Amino acid sequence: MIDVSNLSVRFGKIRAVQDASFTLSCGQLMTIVGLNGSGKTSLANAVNGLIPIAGGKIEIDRVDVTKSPFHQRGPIALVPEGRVLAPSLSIHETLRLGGGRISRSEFLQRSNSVLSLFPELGERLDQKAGSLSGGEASLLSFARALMRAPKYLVLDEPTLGLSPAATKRVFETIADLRNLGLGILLIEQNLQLAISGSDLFYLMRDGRLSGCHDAFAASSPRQIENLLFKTEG
Amino acid sequence: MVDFIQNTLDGIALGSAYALLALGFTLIFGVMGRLNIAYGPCIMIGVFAGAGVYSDLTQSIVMIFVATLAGTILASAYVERVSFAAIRADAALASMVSTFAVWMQLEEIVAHLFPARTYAFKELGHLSLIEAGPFFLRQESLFMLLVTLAVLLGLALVLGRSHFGLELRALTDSRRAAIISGINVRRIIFLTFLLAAMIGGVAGFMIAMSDGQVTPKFGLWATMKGLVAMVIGGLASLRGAVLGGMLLGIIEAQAQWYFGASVREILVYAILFAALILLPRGILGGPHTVWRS
Repeated sequence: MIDVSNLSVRFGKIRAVQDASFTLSCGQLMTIVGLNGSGKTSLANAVNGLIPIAGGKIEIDRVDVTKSPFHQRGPIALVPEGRVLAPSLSIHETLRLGGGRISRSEFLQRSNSVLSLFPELGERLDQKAGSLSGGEASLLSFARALMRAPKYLVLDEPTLGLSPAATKRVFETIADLRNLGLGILLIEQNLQLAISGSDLFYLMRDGRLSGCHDAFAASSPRQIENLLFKTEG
Repeated sequence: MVDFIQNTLDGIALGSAYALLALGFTLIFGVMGRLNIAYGPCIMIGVFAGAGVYSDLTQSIVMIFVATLAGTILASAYVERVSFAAIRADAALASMVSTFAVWMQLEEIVAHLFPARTYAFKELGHLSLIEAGPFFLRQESLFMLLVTLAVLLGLALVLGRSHFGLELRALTDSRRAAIISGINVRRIIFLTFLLAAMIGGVAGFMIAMSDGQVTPKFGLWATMKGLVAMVIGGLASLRGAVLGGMLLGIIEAQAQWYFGASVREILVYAILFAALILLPRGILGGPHTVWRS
């Protein structure tokens, strides 16, 4: 379980994330929706140890990782906003990199398992990451994260800039991964898709998470939009 | 024409040492995006360590080589800790100024420990010339060329076949992608410094053996030659570093033959200015240029 309590992130005087708390278990899909600049990416980066935090605590499977860098955070992986791949590496090399220092047999086992989810990548293992389309790059970013054999996956706007077909493919993959037992934290702006398959969702406004909502209880994306754009009373 | 070809042969041999110096600069620039101008002085520490062993302890070429390599690696590890690891990633200027300060510090250390300034270094010995028709090559030049080729082959294997090489290439490509891939970036940077130091140590050893002596000016000389070769060949391109080193050697050899030693340096720096203006990223430099074996 990922247990985040009172997490705060500051950039100078700007409070990007304020007292955010949530828990995420294996097999759960939790979605955070919010407007641009609401602090969603800062939250994702902080949970992964990519930026320093101003306060709070992060535990992964009851291990305090608050001060650990990303490579020491254990069973968590990130699919960042904008894909962020090393362009001169091939698909095969990107997968090797994602797998870390594992044995050849372990690599083959993991890569076969991951490529079964993304067969289109397996057909062109020597192609450079920098020459992939947006949709393909997004899948490779997924695949790289899964090569860490994570129990938890943080997805930061994985459908940003993708075509409707590629977006559908990404959400199908998310559903598959949840069914495989991964705990998924999804940050997404596409409200319709975001709430359709979620177990839990949070709204984020001005760096604050506004409570945990039961996604099944949300009657429509329209209601969430109203919450998002609601002015402070 | 015979002279031109002969000068080119001599230039390639000289350029092979420059190529190694440029490779060291390029490896560090690739992973850090910053210049380590103390790289030459670190090699100077190594060659003085070798000279010290040669004058006071033993004439064993192996021991002198080990001392040169160890001195360069220790000095480079110090630079990495002081001027890179301790300074924030977004403070490139502070980092460069710090390497300049370390350069001064290293020169002072050498001046105190080796007050005579010029010290003898183990020479390869009196080697004969290899003749091929109208052309000839000194055996020590052939030795430098072969050692350089061996280093290049070893580096290609490390970068192309090892997990460390993969991590280093990823880091050169995109620091953020490397971090998100789970790489321990600090560790890779430190190991890259050590790798660059080993290459620099080999280059310093060959050059010092070829000259038969070392002076504190070696640091300045090595920094300038390595930087010029890197800029001509292409920033962050390992192939460019080799090409730049070879070109620099050839240009120097031709200039020395046709215009004399005094004009040689003027011409080299004129070419550097031209390269900076016409090809600011160098001949093979690009946004994502790393060596692929």
